Amino acid sequence: MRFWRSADAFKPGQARFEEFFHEGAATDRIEAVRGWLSADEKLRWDLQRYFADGKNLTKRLLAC
Amino acid sequence: MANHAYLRVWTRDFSLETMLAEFARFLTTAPLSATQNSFTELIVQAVDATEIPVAEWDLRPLKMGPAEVTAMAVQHLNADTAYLVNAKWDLWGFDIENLKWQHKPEPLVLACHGLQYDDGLAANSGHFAADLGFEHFFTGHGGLLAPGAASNPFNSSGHPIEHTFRQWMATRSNLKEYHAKTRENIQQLFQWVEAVERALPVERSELWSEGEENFEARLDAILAQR
Repeated sequence: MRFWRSADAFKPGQARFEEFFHEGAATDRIEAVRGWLSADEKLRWDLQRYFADGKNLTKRLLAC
Repeated sequence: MANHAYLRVWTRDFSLETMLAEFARFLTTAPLSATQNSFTELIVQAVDATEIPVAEWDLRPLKMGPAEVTAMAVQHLNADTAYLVNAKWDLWGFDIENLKWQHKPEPLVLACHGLQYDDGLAANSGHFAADLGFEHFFTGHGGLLAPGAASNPFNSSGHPIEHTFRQWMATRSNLKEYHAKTRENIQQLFQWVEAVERALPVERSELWSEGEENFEARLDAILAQR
């Protein structure tokens, strides 16, 4: 149980909110997901590739 | 409190590594409102619903799509975490008090449940789930539509508004319209389920509601009724 956690409420105009969207990391992450979502139709039904690609996407997002 | 209806989806090989990538695809399939076609809020909830959310993002003015929401969610990637995204979709609704139809944006909540969230809630509630809103958008009120498949077909509260509603629906053309509009809502829902099955490696999906013993059978019966 992670009782140490506290809520972060991010609203437009707040510094932390604006920072996230102006950091390169956020942009890279967003582009990575967009690229994956637009992957071709074949990928959707080639399950081995599909899962590998999903895992790779997560790794790429975490590395941003 | 009116009953709600839900879509639950389980995918093959769902894991910590694939869940947010697949959630992005799930979000892509959602039939968002024509006038409010972006996500309005992301809530990251760890452990269970009794905990204070880890983060809440107010997305209303930003026109956020699936990629932006996923980019935010991945900052809190954990197997014990759920990701809840608020949006709107357009449904036909009958205003019982004014006896008028409206096609307007209604709340839609999309969720991704990590495998360890809330003691494995995903096993019963879906890896991905959607709170579709009120059950009566899809079943109608009072068991008037396909009563043979309804759990409580003639359950009446005796409330004056319900009496007025039943009188209104006693007119054949009004009941026919009620059926047609409800069928449109069901068709939109079924088309969405088909889109989810095309976009994700779905192991199984389920439509469930709080008031119907077999929600899917009821929807099928309403669609089949002429």
